[in-house]
Amino acid sequence: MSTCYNPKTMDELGQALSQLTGRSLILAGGTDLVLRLRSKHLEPDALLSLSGVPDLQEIEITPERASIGAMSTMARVNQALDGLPDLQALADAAGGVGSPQIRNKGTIGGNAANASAAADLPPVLWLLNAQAEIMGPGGARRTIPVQELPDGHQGNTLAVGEVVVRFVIDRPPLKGWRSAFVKLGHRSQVTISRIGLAAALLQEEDGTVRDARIVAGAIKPVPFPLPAAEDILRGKRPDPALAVELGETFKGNTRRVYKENAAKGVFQDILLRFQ
Amino acid sequence: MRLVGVSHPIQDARGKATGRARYAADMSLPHMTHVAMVFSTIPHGYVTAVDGSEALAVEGVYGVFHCFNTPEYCFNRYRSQYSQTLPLEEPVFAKRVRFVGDRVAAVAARDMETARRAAALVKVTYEELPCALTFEEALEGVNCLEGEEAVKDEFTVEVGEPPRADGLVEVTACTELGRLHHAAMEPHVCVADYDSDLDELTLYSPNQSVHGVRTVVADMLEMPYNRVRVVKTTMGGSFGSKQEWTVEPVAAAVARRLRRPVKLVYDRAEVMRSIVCRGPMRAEMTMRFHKDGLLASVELELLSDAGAYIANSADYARTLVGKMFRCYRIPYGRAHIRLVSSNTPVSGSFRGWSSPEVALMLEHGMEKAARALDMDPVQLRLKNVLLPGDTDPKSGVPIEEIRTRECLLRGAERFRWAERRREDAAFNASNDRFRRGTAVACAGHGNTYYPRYNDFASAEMRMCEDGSVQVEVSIHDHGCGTGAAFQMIVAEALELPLDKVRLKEADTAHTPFDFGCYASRGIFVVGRAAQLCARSLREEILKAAAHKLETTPDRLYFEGPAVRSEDDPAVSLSYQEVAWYSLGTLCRELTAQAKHTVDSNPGVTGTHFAQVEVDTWTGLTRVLDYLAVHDVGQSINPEMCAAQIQGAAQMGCGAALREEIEISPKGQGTCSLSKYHLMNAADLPLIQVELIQDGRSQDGPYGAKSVGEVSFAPAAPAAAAAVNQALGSDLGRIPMTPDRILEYIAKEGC
Repeated sequence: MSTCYNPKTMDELGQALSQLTGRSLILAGGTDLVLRLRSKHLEPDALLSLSGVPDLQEIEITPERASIGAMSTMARVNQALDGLPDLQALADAAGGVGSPQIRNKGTIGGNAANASAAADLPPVLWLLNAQAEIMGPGGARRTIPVQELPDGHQGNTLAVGEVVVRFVIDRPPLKGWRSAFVKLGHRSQVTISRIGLAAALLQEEDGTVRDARIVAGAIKPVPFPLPAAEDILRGKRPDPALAVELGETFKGNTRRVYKENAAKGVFQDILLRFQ
Repeated sequence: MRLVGVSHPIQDARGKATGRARYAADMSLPHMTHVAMVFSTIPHGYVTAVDGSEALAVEGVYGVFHCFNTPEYCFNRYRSQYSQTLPLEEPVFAKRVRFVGDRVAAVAARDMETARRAAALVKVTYEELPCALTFEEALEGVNCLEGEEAVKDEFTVEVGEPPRADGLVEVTACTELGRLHHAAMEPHVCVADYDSDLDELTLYSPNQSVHGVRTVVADMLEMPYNRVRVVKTTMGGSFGSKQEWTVEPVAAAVARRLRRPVKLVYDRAEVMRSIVCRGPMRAEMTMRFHKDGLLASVELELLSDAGAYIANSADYARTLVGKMFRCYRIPYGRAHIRLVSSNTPVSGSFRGWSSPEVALMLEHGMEKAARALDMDPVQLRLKNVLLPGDTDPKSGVPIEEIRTRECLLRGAERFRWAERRREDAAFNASNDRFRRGTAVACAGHGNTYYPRYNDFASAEMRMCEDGSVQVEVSIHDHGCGTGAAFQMIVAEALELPLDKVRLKEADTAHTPFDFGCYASRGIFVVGRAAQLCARSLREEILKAAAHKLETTPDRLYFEGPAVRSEDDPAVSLSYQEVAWYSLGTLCRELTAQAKHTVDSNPGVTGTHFAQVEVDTWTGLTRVLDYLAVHDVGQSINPEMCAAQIQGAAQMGCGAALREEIEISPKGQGTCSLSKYHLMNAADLPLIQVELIQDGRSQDGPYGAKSVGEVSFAPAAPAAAAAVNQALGSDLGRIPMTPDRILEYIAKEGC
């Protein structure tokens, strides 16, 4: 028989985290975990539910930073960030996860901490250099760059009794940047990414790209930047015709012939977002 | 007509919308046990030991059953009629497992959670045997034990005389079909209730033939047929997957053994892994045409994989040959068919029962012919479709009225065929990434399995004291509103308001014998019996009324729900008055019985138009526009008829473009909807439907013909042809997934 913890405040959360062992599980939106509990007959010694802590659901956007509680659902992330040019990629990614039902339950913290190679939010969090704020046993806090969250084997680097409580994106460095995310799945909606592509461009008034950042997801166990693609874009306008050349940058990054061939399509789709 | 041809909500629309409709999985009986299965994890081998000790140690587990501790119960999942002599090839619990997903053991426990947790603790030891996962391996017989043949069935059918004319244009189309999952929303479920004192077994399940389940289970358990009752429950879709008995024999065996009610519910993964799929086929179809486009001959070389058990595959392949002749005039047809058995999921019944498969082969050939002959695809079909008065050359049955020609003409006009094809060409010329294609496909089907087998149906009715009518017919509503359609058929004939007619679904304890609702025979055969029965009840009402009014029935008529007299305008007897009179004075309940013996099977076809856009960079295909024109005779419930066609188009687009159960090198089939990419509404346009209703059948109720299966037959061929049209390609591997499209483009260009 396992214990359930259902903290209502951050303090209670800190106390509950102290009780967890290596056999405990943390429940966020449950869109992955509940299925796994059922199919694998997991029997954790304790289950910690994060749903009762209102602080974890807070989204605060100021000119200085975006602070997104780990329990913010995909639907709310999409709603809160849609239309903010620098953060648009995050709105895109959250708005494209699964179905409306999944987006109403699934959370940004769960998506990132679950660390599936095909997850949509991690490449965007990498692109925007988000920091993950972590709470540990007793409420101890530490902050790491999101790049340090996954362990490279579809798991995370969190220690026993640690949980991501929020993501913070510093906005001043993104001033003037526009970002976007597109994915390629087996269909247009309710689909798992075969390629996820996050891009941010800093453009001159005439559209010329002064600086570019590109991160790909769903190709390797963790997202990775594509500096070769960034080089191609710098100094040019983001002409959709560049897609063919950009697609070539996937060569050597994937063993899947399909993904290598289809990359140019995803690049063109994302370039069209910057027209 | 008052009701027939006017749209009505289906009988359980409210229940389904509110979630109150009761499915088998919602049932609960006192002392009920829940069963979870243990499936084979290897494709081929012997079970050498089953260790259930850990499972039995779990609190609340009542038993672990497998081949070493139960009688050797064997059955044939495809058997639905007493007279079918099929081998009892499939055991309830396998000793020799033949595919990943074969049933090895069952665990019974107090609740589902416990049963499933305990099932995961059952340890099975295997001795592995070589397995065949592909056509090639199965043909080589790598999985054959001594005395077993690789080719399980082989036959040739020839119809007509080979053409003698010179200068025929020949095309050969190679088509290969992958495995399909039925994807009914409701999984497979059976609740079995065994009364050991009465030695009576009652099975509740969503199935397509209560009498079929009864026959198979009673024979397996050696019980008298009248002690096994099968009740058809509300069904959340079947598409053929509930035409074969998989969960019922298991639940029955365990219930009898435990002497208590048993509930067995498969989850999605189990349904995909273990129940049944549409089997793979590899076809080479050679078609010869006269220079003017007139079809001279069709020759088919087909290899079919039955999967782990033969089940219906030998019969399925035979019907495929029959379906070849249900759409076009084929002066000479020849089919050579070979059947193999691999260690993969069992191939079986799927919506259309080989009509969609043969249509994919035929229409692929037609597309190639149109190019070879430089003819417009619509014109080529117009030249060759069956016409009213034609005879099905294979079965010898008259085609009667058929409207494929009208469907083609009407559809071409409404879909702006010629104009759209020109627009596609202009679009393609100016676009380096996207390619558009517009195509058409026709396909035919039947309305009964007559004349392959005799077919008949019965109905019984009684009028209650209040003038309402109770109907006993063995219907098996798949979820598409058969119940409402039957209410309409009966209420129309009896001139009663719809709510005065009630009917429950098939129940071997109460409803007359019936073969089951498959072969699209529900409305055409069983519906006709209901209509005839209603007419006969009408006569009984008139007779009783005539007695009361001291006149003859021929002086009486119906107006509204009342009996009126030609001789006296003041006379108006309600049904209630007639019923009371009959019971009280004539000492007779107003009842009727009717039987309909089938001696026709008219031509029924659908013509579908699809426009697609292929992304040649990602291989993804979007369906831009879709029109289905159907020759339905008389539609009973038009909006439901259209909805069935829309669903069929969706299913067909998925089958053509995405959906496939793939088998891993270890024999694991796709068993999750996250990897089986169903076509969803977001990726489809509004499917337009047009019904052509003047090609009425002679024997269907009110002239109705079938729709459930024929609607699916042309769908995948239309979508597939549109892709080939867009790319100028000759892709014959179905589904045309993004990966296959990109692979083709990388090799052939576009």
